[in-house]
Amino acid sequence: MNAEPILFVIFGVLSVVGACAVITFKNPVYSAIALICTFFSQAGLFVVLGAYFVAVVQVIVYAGAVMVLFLFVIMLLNLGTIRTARSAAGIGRGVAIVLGVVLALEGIYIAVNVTRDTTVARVKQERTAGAASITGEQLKKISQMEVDYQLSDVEINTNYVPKVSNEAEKVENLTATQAQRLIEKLQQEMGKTERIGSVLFSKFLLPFEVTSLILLSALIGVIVLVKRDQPKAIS
Amino acid sequence: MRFCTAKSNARSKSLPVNVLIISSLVKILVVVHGLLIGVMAMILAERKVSGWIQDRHGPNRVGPWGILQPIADGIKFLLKEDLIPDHVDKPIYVLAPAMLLVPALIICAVVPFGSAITIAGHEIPLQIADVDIGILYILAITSLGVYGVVLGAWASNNKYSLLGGLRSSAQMISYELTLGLAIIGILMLAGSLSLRDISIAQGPYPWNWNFLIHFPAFLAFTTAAFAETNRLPFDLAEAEQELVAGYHTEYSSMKFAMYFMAEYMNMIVGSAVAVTLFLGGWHFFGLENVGGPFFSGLISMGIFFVKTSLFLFVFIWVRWTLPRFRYDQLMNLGWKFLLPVTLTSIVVTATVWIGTQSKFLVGACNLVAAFVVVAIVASLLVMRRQPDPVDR
Repeated sequence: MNAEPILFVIFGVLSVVGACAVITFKNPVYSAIALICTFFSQAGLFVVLGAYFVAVVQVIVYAGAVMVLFLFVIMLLNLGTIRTARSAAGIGRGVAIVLGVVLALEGIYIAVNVTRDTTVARVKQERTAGAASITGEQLKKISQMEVDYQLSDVEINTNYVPKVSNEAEKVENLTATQAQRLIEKLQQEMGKTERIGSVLFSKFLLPFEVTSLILLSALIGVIVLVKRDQPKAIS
Repeated sequence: MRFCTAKSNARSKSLPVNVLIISSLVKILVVVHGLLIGVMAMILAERKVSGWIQDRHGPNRVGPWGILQPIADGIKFLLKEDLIPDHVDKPIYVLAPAMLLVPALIICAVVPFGSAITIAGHEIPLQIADVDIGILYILAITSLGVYGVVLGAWASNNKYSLLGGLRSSAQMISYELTLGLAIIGILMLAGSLSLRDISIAQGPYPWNWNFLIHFPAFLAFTTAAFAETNRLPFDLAEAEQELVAGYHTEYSSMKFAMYFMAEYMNMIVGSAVAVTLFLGGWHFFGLENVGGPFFSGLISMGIFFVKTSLFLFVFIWVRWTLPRFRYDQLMNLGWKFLLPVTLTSIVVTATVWIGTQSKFLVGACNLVAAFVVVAIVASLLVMRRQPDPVDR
C-alpha cells in the first residue's frame, strides 16, 4: 500500500490550481490567498518526499511571513480590483505562444524520460536481481553518502543495517535489494533536522554565513532607507 | 557531540494499522471536544474570576453558581440574527473567523496531553501525532493566525477595523520571533524538536523543569503568548475605548462567536504548549507513574489538565490586573527588550552547557545575563529619550 502517488496527485493538483488562481483572480487579495494555498500544497509535497524540516520552514517563511508582507503591501496600496483584463496584442502574443510551446515540449521530454536512470528504474532492476550480493556501485554510493551526511561506518552498521536485514552485520554482507533499501532509508533520514543541522554547520558553513550576512545587510539597508529624521528637541 | 537526548521509546513501537486508526480517531474526538468544553469553561471562568478580582460575584443567575452561563451565551449567539453587511467582501468576511479558529485546533495535534495508556495490550501514546518537528510545526501554524485577523479587518471595509487589524497583525508578527527564539535554549538541552521528548527530558521534579533553567525564556515566551493571543496587556486590536471593537467590529452573532471562541482556543492551546515546554508536561513528582498502565495514563492527563488550568488562570488574572500597553511601548518591548534577552539566552545556554554540563549553572547564568541585557537596553533607551516639553 503506497500512499505516495495519491498524495502527490492531490498536492500537485492543489498547487497547480492555486497557481492558476493567482493569475486569474481580479482581486489582488484573492490572488494572495490563492498563493498561500499554493505554498501549503508545496509544503505537502515536501512532506511526501520526506523532507519534513523543509516543509515546515516553507510554511513558516513563505506562507507565514512573506505572504503577510504581501498582504500588508496590497492593503496599504489599496489597489482595488482590475476592471478589464487587457490581453496582449501583436508581438507580445507571438512571443507568449512560442514560449508556451517550448515549455510544453520540455515538460513532455521530462515526463517521458523520468523513469530512465533514476531510483525508480534501478529499484525495479534490483527487485528482479534476487539474492545477488551488493554491487560495487551501491557500495560507492553508500560511502559517498557517509561522507556527505557525516555518518560513520559504525553508525550505519548499528543503526541502519539492522532495519533492512536481521542477519547481515555489515554493509558488505547485504544483498543488492537490501542495499537498495538501505540507500533509500539513508536518503529518507536526510530530511531530519539533526542531519540538516550537522551538514549545514560543517560542509555548507560558508554559504550559510554568507547568506546570513546578505540578509543582515538587506535589513540594515531597509532601516536606513526608511528611517525619517527625528524631530529636533524643543530648545 | 550529543546534548542530552531523551528519545521516547513509545515512538519506536508501532501499533497495528487498525488500532492506530481507531485510537487516532478517538484521540481527535477527545481533543476537539475537550477544547470546545474548555472554551465553555473559560467563558464562565473569565467572568467569575474577573468578578472576584473586582470584588463582586460573577454571573450566578443562570444556573447554580452560574454554571449554565456559557450555554446561555451559546443560545444567545445562535438565536441572534446573523447578518452580512452589504459593504463587506463576502467570501473573505465569512472565511476570516475560520482562519483564526482552524490553526488553534490544528496545533493540538502535536501536543502531548499525557504519557501513554495501555488498552488491550497496546500502548497508545496520549498524543495525536508525534512528529519529529513538533515545535517547528507549532511555530508554523501560529504564524498563520495572523491571516484571520488581518483578512477579517480588511474584509470589513471599515477604517476602525482596518486600523485595529493592522496594529494587531504587526504585534503578532513581532512577537512570533520572540516565541521562536525563546524555545531554542530548551531545544538545545533536550536534543530534539519533538514535544514528547522535551516533556520526557524534563523529568518528574519541578527543579528540573525548564521554567527554572530558562527563566528569562519562560517569561519571554509567556509575554509572547499574551501578545499572540491578543490578550491584555496587549489587546490593542480590540481596545474598546479606542477602536470601537477593533477587527471584529462588523461581526455579529455566530461569526463574532467564532472569533470569541478562537481567542479562547488560542489561549488554551498556548497554555498547553507552555506547560509542555516549560512546566514539565504531564510530570509531577512521579505521581504520573502511580497505578497500572491504564490509570497512570489517566492520572498524567489529569496532571496536564490541572497545570493548563493554572496557566489559564494566570492569563485571566493578568488581564484584569494590568493596564493596556501603548502601541509604541508594545513594539519597544517586543523588539528592544525581549529579542535581545532571548538571543543572549541562546548564547549563554549553549556556552555554559558545553562548558559545564550543569543545568543549575545554565539557569543561574541565564538569569544574570538577562538582567545585564535588560539593564543595558533600558539605559540606552533612557539616554536616547527626547526631553519632555515641560522641562525647560
